[in-house]
Amino acid sequence: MKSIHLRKLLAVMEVKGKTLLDKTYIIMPLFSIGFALLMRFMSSVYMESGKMSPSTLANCVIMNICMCSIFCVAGSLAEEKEKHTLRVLMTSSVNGMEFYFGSVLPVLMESIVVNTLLPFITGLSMTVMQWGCYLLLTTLSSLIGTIVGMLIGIYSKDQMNASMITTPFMLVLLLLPMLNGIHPILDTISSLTFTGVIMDFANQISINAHPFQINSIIILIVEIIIATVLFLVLYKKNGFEAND
Amino acid sequence: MNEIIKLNHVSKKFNNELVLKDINAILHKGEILGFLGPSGAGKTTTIKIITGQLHQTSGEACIFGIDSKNIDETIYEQIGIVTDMSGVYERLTVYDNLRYFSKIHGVDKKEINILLERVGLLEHKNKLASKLSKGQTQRLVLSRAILHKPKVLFLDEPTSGLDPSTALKIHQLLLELKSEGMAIFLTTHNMEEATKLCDHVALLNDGEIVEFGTPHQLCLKYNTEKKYHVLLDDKKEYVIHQTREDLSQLNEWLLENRIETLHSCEPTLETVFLKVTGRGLE
Repeated sequence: MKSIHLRKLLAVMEVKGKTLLDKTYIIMPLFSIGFALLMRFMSSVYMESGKMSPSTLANCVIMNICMCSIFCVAGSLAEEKEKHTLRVLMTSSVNGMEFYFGSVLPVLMESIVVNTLLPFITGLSMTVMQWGCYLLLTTLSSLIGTIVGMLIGIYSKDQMNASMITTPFMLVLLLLPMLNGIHPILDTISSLTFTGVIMDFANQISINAHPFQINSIIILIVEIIIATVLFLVLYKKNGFEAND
Repeated sequence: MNEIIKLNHVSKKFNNELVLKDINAILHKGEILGFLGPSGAGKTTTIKIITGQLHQTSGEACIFGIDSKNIDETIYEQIGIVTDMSGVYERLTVYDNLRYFSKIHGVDKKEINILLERVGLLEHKNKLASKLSKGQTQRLVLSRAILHKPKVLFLDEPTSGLDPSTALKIHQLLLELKSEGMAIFLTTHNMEEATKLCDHVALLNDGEIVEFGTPHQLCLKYNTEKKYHVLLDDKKEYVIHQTREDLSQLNEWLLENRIETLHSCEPTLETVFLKVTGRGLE
């Protein structure tokens, strides 16, 4: 097990944080915030109650996790490979663990901040219990998103390649919870993904049921374990450059 | 420890094709060792093996006495690498690129400006790395590689494609670093550069070291056909061979004080390489 040097971790985090401010990446969290604002405006104009449904919040959160956690992590790793800076880091005494956490933590923090803002933007009120469950589920889901982003980044040769892999993948994740009513199989698949778990949570809130479901937590933890194992297997093969 | 790098019967196969064959070499502290050869001779592969980015098929490659297969970040903290695949962070300024690596290596920020001055990039410190010319980018990459004062510097074709003035500045910097005790492992196909910089050179052809020695030794070794270039006062040029007739003619010109310039025509490293391998360097 490699040790993590705080100095190197903070250095990688700082540069990755700056990368997130670039126009390519800063727009990603703005999509979900913009979508939430638009939906709030439309609800106030077209809905009788003027309130948004919890499922709309769930859609905004899923969009944020896909855009921030998956796209930003995959894109920034692919960019490091394309610009040949990843190899420089690895031969400059930054180890895989430092690079992994340095890359993932800024995105995870950004994702958590946006997830926390979204209920306020949508104007959806939640009880303390609901807030607790919401933060736990969305944070675990964002973590899964970042690991999936790393997996895609490892496979991608460059940014174009990363975006070609990420886009259909994100579409499936976004659409599954919306289309789960079409067929029972789709419903089952959806319930086993983190996007489905978030939608189920929203459905529980909308019917005022207890929001904490142990099944959801188990699904998310299993997904984290599977994604981490897949990541470690790929990383062991050839570091962050599986396609070299 | 004086012995920085030791290659002991190193071979490397890619898909059953032998790209490095029984490579032996030693690099000491304060020395420049040149691996010379045309593209595809195995120069970059050798650097990758020594720096642990590739594993050799057989033999032993040691750096600071440690097998390069077991290289870790404690070794990487003591080396600097410059290759054509060394990228820079284009969104960051020149200064911020170095600041990033100063944090990674735990180097005082004050060193950055000193180094930028040394490589002639101080006036460009606030320029985005994406806006630099090729020569400036190469100097930035070089300054990043020496920021933490490594014990050994790996340079893979450091002046390839650069203008003569930038190449000259880089040569001067390398000689300064050498005089400060840094060991330098240089790969190049520029024989003039190797003659000027290297203490020892290995001529590499098809993955095999075909000659090893100091540039001077190698040139003398292949100086079999001794001849001299003469420029007379009437601006006529002659090549004098080591024959009785030619030498008496030379003697005559000397006595008559007709010789403006007289140079021995020992082979250059390039002609030695051509002689040994029967092929050019490009």
